[in-house]
Amino acid sequence: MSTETTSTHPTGTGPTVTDLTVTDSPNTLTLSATPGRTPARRTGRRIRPSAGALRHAGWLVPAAIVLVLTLWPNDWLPFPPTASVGAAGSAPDGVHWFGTDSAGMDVFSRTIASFRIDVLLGILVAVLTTVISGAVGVLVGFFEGERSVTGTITRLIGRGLDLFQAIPIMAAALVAVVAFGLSIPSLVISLAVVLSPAQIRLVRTEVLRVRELGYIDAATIAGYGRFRIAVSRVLPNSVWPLVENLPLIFATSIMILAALGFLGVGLQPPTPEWGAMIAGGSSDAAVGRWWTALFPSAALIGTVLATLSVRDALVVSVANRRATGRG
Amino acid sequence: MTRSRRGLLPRALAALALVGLLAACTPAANSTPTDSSSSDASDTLVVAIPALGSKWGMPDTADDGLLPILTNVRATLIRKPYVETGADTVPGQDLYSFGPYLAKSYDVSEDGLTYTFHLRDDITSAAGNPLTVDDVIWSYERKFGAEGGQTPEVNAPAITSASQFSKVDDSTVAVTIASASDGLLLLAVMADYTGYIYDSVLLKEHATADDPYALAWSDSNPNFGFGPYSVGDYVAGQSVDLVKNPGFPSDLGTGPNEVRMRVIPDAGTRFNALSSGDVDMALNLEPQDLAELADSSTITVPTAAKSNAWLIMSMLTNKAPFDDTLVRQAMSYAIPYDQIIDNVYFGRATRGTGGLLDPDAPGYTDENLTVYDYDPAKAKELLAQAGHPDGISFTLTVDSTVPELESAAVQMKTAAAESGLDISIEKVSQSVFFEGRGDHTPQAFLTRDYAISLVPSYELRLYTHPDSRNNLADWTSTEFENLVTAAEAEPDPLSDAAGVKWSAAENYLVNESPLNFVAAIQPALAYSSTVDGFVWRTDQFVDYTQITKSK
Repeated sequence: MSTETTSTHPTGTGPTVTDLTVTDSPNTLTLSATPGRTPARRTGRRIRPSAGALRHAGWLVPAAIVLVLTLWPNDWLPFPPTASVGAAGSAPDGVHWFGTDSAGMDVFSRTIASFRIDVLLGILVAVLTTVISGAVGVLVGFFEGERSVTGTITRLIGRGLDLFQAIPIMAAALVAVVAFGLSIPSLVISLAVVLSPAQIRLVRTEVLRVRELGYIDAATIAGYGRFRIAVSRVLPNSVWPLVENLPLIFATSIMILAALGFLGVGLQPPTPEWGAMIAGGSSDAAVGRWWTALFPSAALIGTVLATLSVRDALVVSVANRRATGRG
Repeated sequence: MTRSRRGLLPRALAALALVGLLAACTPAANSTPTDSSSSDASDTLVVAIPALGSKWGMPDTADDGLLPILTNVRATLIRKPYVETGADTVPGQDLYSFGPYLAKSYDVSEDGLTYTFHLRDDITSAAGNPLTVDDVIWSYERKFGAEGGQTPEVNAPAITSASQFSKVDDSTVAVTIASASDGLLLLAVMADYTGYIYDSVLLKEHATADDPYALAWSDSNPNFGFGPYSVGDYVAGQSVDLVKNPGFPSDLGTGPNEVRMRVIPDAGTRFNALSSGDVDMALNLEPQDLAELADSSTITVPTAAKSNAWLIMSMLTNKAPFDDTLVRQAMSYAIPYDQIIDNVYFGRATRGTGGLLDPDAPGYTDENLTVYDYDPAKAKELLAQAGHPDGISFTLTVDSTVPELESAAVQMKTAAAESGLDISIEKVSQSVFFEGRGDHTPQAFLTRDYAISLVPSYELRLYTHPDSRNNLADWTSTEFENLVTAAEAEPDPLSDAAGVKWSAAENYLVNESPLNFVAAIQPALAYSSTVDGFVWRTDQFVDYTQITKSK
């Protein structure tokens, strides 16, 4: 009886176990390694956009619009986004398309200018969260089962993250922002710290699965160090859920940033930022001046939905690939 | 994991609903009070207020959030009479004469050094204890003996010690002053919030060896005053009901039997509560909302003949860049005064004289008073003289709970940029703001403030007292002190001769410009057209004994 097992090396690095043969004698194990041949080439499981995803490229149009608006230069806006340029609290008209706010600033210009701030911050938070989560998640998941100092430390980290995750995200974000300040770097770090625990758990769960696979044992038998195995074998095969979630993290960070601005602990005025604009506009909305809150709300919602569309396209692509096994 | 391709529309709807829910559930939006004024009898007034404090027992005042209530639950020996001010304005106070209140009369000795107050014998406290001279003397012992009071600072030089008070008999108390010229200031501070008289019998019952003035007990037990009302139901941070004090004579004022004050933090929601009739009166409304209500037939927006509430820009002199007089003057020329009055206050503010003294005071003169107008070229020239030809940068701090300050700061930032002044706005929480204001840590800040007593000595010393938390710009000047002292030496502080000297001191202060009095702001409240009797007071509080409500 023989069983053929293939490894999953999407990056195609290192030696690859392609055959596992078990003879009538259960004590005999025959391995064959084919250097240079990667499971990705053999099985064709290199991840590339599927035809299905390409058909749904339309889902990326909203994201493209967001990208254009993010890159839109402030000099091309009808009014400076941080200057008082008209009568305060005036309704939308031919001059101020989205009206003006209580300080006389043009709402249209500020709404567009906010794309750069919020989207940039969202991207930074998403990338930093992914990097932190990937690194910590792999280490925790791979070493926590070991009876060593490293294992103890990683188990403690894991438990600490479980406790941290019990804190509501907004409460943790508020504390982090107050502790680290209201600058862009501190906001990025604060939000990344707050959003990482859940992602670390995601990676850890994937690592727990991956570390039991045969090629990990093979790498161990081949004499690779634990850390090298973690980085070269486990990490590449465990972070795909993170990548799938990256758009979601981006969208969540934008919403948290907006919520912080709404609660008065966001960026300082008159920095154009959706949350602060909605906060200032909510009181106006209560008395009928609806425009100061509506337009930044719509921009925020549109950006989040556009991000989720990107994620949907990505997920559908991967799902199709896994279902058909085709490239 | 698969996703429904039809999930975009439901998610969009869910997102919109979430935004709406967030807007409805956050601190910026609040429910209106459940008790409806329309269903109450005309002897109940419902008032929407922005906040409510929790500490009633400071030596002479209370938490900032409780100050508007104090004038109704406590009382002074004398008060400034209410007078008509014109057909289009609400009645105000006569600032320079003083009438009876807890005292039925007072006499002044021939030398002007002794003021004798004759107490009424028909007043009892909310706890039922009769007003006596012992209450007066003990109250001032508390104000001067307990730590944390403002009385020693703002009563000087008229009252510097409780020992100036002496008992003549059970209903007569005498106060001696060092100089006859301090008489006006004496009467002024005894008529305002530092002159409240406390029920010493009640407080002494709860005094301890460690707390001889019962500060701890009085923090949560507010009914130790002799005012027209007492505190009934009270929920910290949410609501307070004022009920009539049966021991307060009706000839001093009546008002509704009950005043229900409800906390609605959001100004827009307070506005809506008033517009819908859920409340009879709403305090601290936004200027634009008040301007829009001006022509309403169901809501009254009062206009005062004068206002002592200022938008003040404080330029801290204890650090750069405002440790340089030229830079402060440059900033004063870079403020867009008219734009702020129009765009932030919608016309419900005036520039005034640019100084802080009451221009209607007898003897007042503004001759030689420096007047700052928006002049960016002049500002730039002064900056160059100060060694900053390329301009300077600084941070302007505002209180996040007062939206108009942020709006004014944005106006300033935009306009001052033309002069080379690069302003970064820092919005902080109220507690951080007041801590910084008292500790003199910001570079500059905007605040809304007022002098309760409008006698020249009080006004000029309020913001310039050395080492005081009220010295907003942390500014001291020997020359200014000499000018004020010289004016205070005039026998009659309201004479023309004194007016010239007060003017010299004011002009010096304005010229040095540690403070810029940007605009004098009208009262920020409105009330139902069924309500009448609102009187403008220098302490900005509402005297509910003057309020009537028709059905």
